[in-house]
Amino acid sequence: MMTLEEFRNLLDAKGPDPDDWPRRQQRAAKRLLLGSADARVMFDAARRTDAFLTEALWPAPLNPTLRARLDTIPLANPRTPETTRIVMRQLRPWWYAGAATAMASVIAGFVVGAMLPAEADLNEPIAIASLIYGPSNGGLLP
Amino acid sequence: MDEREDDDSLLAQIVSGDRHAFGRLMDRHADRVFALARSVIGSAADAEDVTQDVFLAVWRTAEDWRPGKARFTTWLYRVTLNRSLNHKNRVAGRQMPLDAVAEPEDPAPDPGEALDAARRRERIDRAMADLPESQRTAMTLTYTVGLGNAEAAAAMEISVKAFEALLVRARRKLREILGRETLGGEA
Repeated sequence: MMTLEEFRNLLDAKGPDPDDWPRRQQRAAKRLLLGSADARVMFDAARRTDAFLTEALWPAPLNPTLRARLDTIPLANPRTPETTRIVMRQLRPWWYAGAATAMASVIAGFVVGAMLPAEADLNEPIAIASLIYGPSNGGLLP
Repeated sequence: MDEREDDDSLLAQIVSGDRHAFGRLMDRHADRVFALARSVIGSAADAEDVTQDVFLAVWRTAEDWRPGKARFTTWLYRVTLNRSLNHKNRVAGRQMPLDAVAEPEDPAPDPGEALDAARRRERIDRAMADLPESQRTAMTLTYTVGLGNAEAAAAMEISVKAFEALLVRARRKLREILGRETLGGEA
């Protein structure tokens, strides 16, 4: 059985239109309305408040000056032709892949650079090869 | 016609540079985007800047929209909210400009009715201004923008339960502020 307080909460949370009430609460509320004069008074007051607020808060027509400003948006900001946008969209994954490859190369360069011994003779191929091979020399590969 | 399908098809036309489709999309949503921005920021002039910024984003990023994944309006009002809050935070501390006062309503044929409407609007604007920002946003998304609880919660990036808790507090506070005189009967 729904209490008057629960009914008031229902009205304030969902509004006075029974179609907006959850089905289970709808049945209980309708039973309460049939049996309680207080509930009916509450329901009528909620409907009046709702009608008043709907009318009072309805948006005023748009100010013509603002409307004129809005109408300039398409002219001031011409859209990119659709074909160009399609091509750009198709190229986007390649652009990301290229950027990722470039970033990975830079990072790899820093890593290798940091691992080179300061005194290493970079003109000597064996010094560089020993960085990559040969764990005994701290190389990257086994 | 289903509004969601319609927004999606308008966006598809915008992608091919259709200015008229963009105009129709603005016809549908610009007044609410502006109203939402204004309820967060308070200043009409700043809300106009945010509205322009939001529709510029729609125009520029229409091709990124994936139909069927979510409602366009959820995205639109979420972007509006985020940009309004960013804007508000940027200008925080600055004195509220004079143009924060409500735009005058279009004149109605009956001056008495127009006066009543203006008074009522002023009263509700003051009552809304007294609400904490999150509650005011919840009320604006519900009554001004016309979103259901689930979509409004998604626009605010909170759970439906949290959104409904904001609505409960906001409705009670408004009843307290506006009182019996405005709402009539048991307020």
